[in-house]
Amino acid sequence: MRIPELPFQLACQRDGALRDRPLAFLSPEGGRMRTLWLVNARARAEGIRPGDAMDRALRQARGLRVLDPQPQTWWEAQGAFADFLQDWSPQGRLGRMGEALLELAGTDRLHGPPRDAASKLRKELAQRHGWDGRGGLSVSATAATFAARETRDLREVAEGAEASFLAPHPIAQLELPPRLRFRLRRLGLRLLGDLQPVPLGVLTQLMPVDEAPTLLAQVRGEDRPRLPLLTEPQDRSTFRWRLEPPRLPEEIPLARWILDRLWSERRSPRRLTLLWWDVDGQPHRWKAFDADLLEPPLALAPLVRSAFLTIATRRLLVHRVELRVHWGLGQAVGLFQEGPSARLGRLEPTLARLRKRFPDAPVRPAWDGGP
Amino acid sequence: MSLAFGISDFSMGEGIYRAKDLIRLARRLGYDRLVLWDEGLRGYPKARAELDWARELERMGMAHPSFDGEGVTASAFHLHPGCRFAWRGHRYGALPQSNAGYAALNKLLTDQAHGREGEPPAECILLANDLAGLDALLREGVFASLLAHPRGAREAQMAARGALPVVAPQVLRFRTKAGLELHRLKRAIATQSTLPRTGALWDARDGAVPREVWEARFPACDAAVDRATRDLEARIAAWEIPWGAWTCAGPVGLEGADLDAVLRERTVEALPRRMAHRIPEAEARLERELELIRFKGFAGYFLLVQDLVQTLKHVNLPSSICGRGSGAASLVSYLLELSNVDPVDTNLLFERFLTRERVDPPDMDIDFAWDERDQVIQAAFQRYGRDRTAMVSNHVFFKRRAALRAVGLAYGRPESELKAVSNRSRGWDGGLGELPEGDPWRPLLAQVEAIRGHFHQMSVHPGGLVITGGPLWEHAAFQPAPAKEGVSVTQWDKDGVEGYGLVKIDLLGNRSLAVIRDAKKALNGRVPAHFGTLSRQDPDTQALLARGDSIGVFYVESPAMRQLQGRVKKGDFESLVIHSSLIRPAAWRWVDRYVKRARGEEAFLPSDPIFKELLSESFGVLVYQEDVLKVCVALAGWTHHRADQLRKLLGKADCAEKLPLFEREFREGAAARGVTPEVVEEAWDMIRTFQGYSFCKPHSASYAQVSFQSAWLKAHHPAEFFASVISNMGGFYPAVAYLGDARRHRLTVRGPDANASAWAFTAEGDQALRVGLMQVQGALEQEVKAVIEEREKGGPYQDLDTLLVRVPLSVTTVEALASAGAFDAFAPDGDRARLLWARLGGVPPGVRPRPTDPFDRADLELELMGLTLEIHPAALARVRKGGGPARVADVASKDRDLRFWALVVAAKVVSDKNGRGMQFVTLEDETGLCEAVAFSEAFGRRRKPYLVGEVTEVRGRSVRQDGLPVLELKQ
Repeated sequence: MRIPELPFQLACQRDGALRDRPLAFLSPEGGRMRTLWLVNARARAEGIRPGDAMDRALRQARGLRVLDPQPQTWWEAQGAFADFLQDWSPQGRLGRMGEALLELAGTDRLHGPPRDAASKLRKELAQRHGWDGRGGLSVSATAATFAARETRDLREVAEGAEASFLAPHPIAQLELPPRLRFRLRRLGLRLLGDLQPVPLGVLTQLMPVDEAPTLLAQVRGEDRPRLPLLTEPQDRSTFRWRLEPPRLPEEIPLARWILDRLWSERRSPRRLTLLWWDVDGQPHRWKAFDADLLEPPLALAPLVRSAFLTIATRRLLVHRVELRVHWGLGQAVGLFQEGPSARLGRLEPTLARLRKRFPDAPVRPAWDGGP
Repeated sequence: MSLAFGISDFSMGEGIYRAKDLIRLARRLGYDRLVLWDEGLRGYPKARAELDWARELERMGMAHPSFDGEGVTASAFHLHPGCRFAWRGHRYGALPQSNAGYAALNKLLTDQAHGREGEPPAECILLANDLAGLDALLREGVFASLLAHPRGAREAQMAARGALPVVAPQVLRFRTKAGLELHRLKRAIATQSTLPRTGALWDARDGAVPREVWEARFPACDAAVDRATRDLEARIAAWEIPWGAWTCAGPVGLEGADLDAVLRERTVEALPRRMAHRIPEAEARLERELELIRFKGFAGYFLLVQDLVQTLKHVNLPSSICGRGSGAASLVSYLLELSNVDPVDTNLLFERFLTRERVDPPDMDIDFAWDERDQVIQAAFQRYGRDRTAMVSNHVFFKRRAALRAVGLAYGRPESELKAVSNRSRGWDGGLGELPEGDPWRPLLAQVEAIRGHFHQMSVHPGGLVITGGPLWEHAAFQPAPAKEGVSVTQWDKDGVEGYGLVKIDLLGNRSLAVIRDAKKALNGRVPAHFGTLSRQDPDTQALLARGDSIGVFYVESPAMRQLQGRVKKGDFESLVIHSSLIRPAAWRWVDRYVKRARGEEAFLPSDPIFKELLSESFGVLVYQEDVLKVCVALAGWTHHRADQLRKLLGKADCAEKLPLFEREFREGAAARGVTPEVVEEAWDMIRTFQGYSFCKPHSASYAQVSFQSAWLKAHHPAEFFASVISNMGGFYPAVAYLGDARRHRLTVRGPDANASAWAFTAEGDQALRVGLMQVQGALEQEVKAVIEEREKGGPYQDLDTLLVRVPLSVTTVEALASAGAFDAFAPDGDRARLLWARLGGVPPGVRPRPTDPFDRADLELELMGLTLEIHPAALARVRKGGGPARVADVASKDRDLRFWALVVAAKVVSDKNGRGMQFVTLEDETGLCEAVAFSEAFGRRRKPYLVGEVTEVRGRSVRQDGLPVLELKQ
């Protein structure tokens, strides 16, 4: 599901006079000359582009209105969008501003076939929030995303037709690292259709081995991601701002000791990555150099901080930060993991039911299998 | 007690006073003796220079700002070195009271800078900050006193009761609340934190108070404390730091020898060999120089420099050198082969280098090929030992932009704002004065001004080296150089080192020496004997220089220099010596007068015969630093040393402040000699405007000699010349501009080729230039060199598959080489995509890669090499984005409005006479090169300045400026 130009739709809701006009938001980054950041379709039709100087754009498009950005309002709207989607399906993933993937499979008994559900969803979105939404319907997440970008209402990509639907789209529309994008261009591959017949073995020579299957599934329309629950913190932003402090004082040295021991295990690879997203969905990433990782993890905190302060030039707009520490050969572990009390909190309704039913022994230890 | 301790801005993150402010504060509070109480001794030379200057002003009957009003005079004010340090977890301070104590303190500082603990310095008065520290020292058997403070009154009383010595001089940290805030700001800057998160080290009770208040306030009011403090004052007053005596090591292997005799022997032996003619004149001059060198005890220095230059002779290094700076004025240097210009023939003034009265030591500057210099420096460290050798540091002080950035970061302002405000500080958007009301930066500007001129950080001087006879710490503290393995650096900067008397040698890197070396090697004996002399007399070389066709030629390739050459149309050695000096900021304002007189359009009618005598060579214009010396000596009767002091001042930032003293002295001197006021006025006007960076004649002549050699190579062997210029990655322009100029010299530029290219650029015959594989970015150097090595061993590669079998290459390297065109020979259709697939096992079934067309190839070449082979970047942009029929070559036709795409190959932002920004730009397309100027109005309309390497659409009007075609840009 995609709400095109959500920031502009919000601005038009606030001020009806802005409808049907070329609009642009001012860049939050200062500079010698003020420049435009986001530009709506009407402005784009008049030749205005993001990054243009404001005074020049105003001369070029007489009716252009330049607005101050309001990231807080946009972020609240994105939250409202997520809440709205929860009424239709428990599973989904929010993307860039005004974009979300929603799992409609399995909701037939509630909302009817997916196509009908999608139509109703669009209609209700317009009624409840006044937003003009566009939908792409497919079993492939990539195909659904591309379809939603192309249509003006709702477009369904039939099962089995995902590859042919995706084939004419340029590779540049996929969010790939610039290095890989250049490499594919140098190989003469411009469209997703060019990339579809490339064998996995060849692709692994061009990009990280663990990411190649995902990319191939995406370009072939074979990606069927298991979407997380919309109620849970989204995707990679696994936790909010605050680290839960250890509850017992002795846990502090213990935690530090464990971290140091794990870190000092020389045989296992280590990685420290900081990721953050701006309010407009722009992702940023910083990775510590291998040489820096020889330091103990807690000594790296100032390094992470200074890297963030140096690179994050749009700090005012950051709405999500994630610090990842990887070690050993296992999975990535988020440093802001969900605390045990939060997990217990989620179990609370079940526990209440159990207490009611079995007041004497609502929970039994695992080893006590019982009759 | 009239003694105070002062913390200056050299205590990073603490002190808020520059040296002169600290002296002024001490004096106003009633003190006449100041001990610098910083961490280390870095700040001492600057404070000493300030005091010396005040004394000189006083001698002339003028007031120094620090010594205005009532109070002690500069000559009665005393300054002492002292410093704080940490030892075994306690804080101490030390005040040397003898030369040995001073050396011990330097040794401690040096040890600690090298990560060693060090020993508390002997023969120093040691002061502990607290009782625990005092106790720790006393347990080690080291005597010390407690430095008391009203805050630590109880501690002081306890110490006094225990019969421990307590002293109580006032430490001047700050005076007002604003000062305390400034201290917190500096602390935030030093710790790279923000102001709200930074606490002060001090509190309001640490504020400085007048002397009588301090003495009344001190809690003990104890006679013993008073006695101990007076005793401390008396002990430090009894010793003076040995300042100003020249110190330099002699060469290894000549210990105990009569160095004057050795120098005489070597120079006399070289005289007939190095001097082709004018021998009697040279002999007389040599005698004069040797006598002066003997008088100043400077023979060891010449021999030391010769020893350093010859240290790596056994491995044929250095390939060549260029002695420059004032040292090149010496015939002795020339005879020792430390410089390459005959000073007798070129009429160079030895007094610019050395005079009898000279107080500060002169130094010699020697250029080495850029890739040989580090080896020479390492060899110097090995030969003379790390204890005796150090490079000189560079002290960086806060200027406007750095201060803006530091204050902005301390206040947590985002990077984007820092950039915007930094641009404003350069005069854009109306400058900082026009910040809108309510702008968060307005209150910060006062803070910015407050820290301007404060010590910021230390770096390494580009080439300064000092070597002492004994351990260097006997004279100055030193520390490991940042990011330079095995190299030490002094804690004092150039001025401090010179002030103390350590004689410096500048060993500098020069890319053009490497260019000449590589080109000569490629020519393999085709360079004639007496290359230096011949190049100066060669008509083709002179013609090339006279028409300003000097892109790539050492030191005369900048657009301004090429234009000057084009305007004067002279290419002889003497003119080039003048021009390369005239182009410097100090002399530049007289350039138009010089050009008119040189072309004979304006007569040089000197108002006094003395001008004709002194300045006829440059048609009455001050060009060299020596011209200032000559005018001062001839008109005002100054000594060479005094005139040299003025010369030095003219190149310094505080010139405006100190110049009035010299002006008065000059006028008085000239009047006493009966010079008419008009002549004095004219002469002083020329001297006054000769401010900024300038050259001395020997320096200019040495560089002109190198310029002629590289110009000769360009005139006769352009292929080898351009190959060497680009391979050495030096010069004013990007590689693409040099290739453009090579094409204009009728050379064919051939792309990289796995079967033909070497690592560097090479000449292929006299008519072609081959791009080297070094230019391909992204290819792994080790693998590329393996390709070249295997080709040299096993012969050329038949096809790409064979190459990949013979040399296993990574995908990254194949991708870079194939995309840059290094494998084009294996695909005659020019389809680079197909070549790249070869490394991946061929094109998989079903995949149909798009073939590479000429435009794709140009894009790839730009991406990977920063240059194009078939299509000029400007032509590429024109085809893609549309453009008119005009080209760069059309700028030659006068008064036409033009619009075209061009590549920016040089750009320089300057301020016009109203202080507004404007920019000079050099543009290129496939038809040629042109100069353009964006005056302030046009420049102000642009979103950002023109940047070197960008392809841009330009609009402007072609005009003539002094006969040369120039495009006046409209946006």
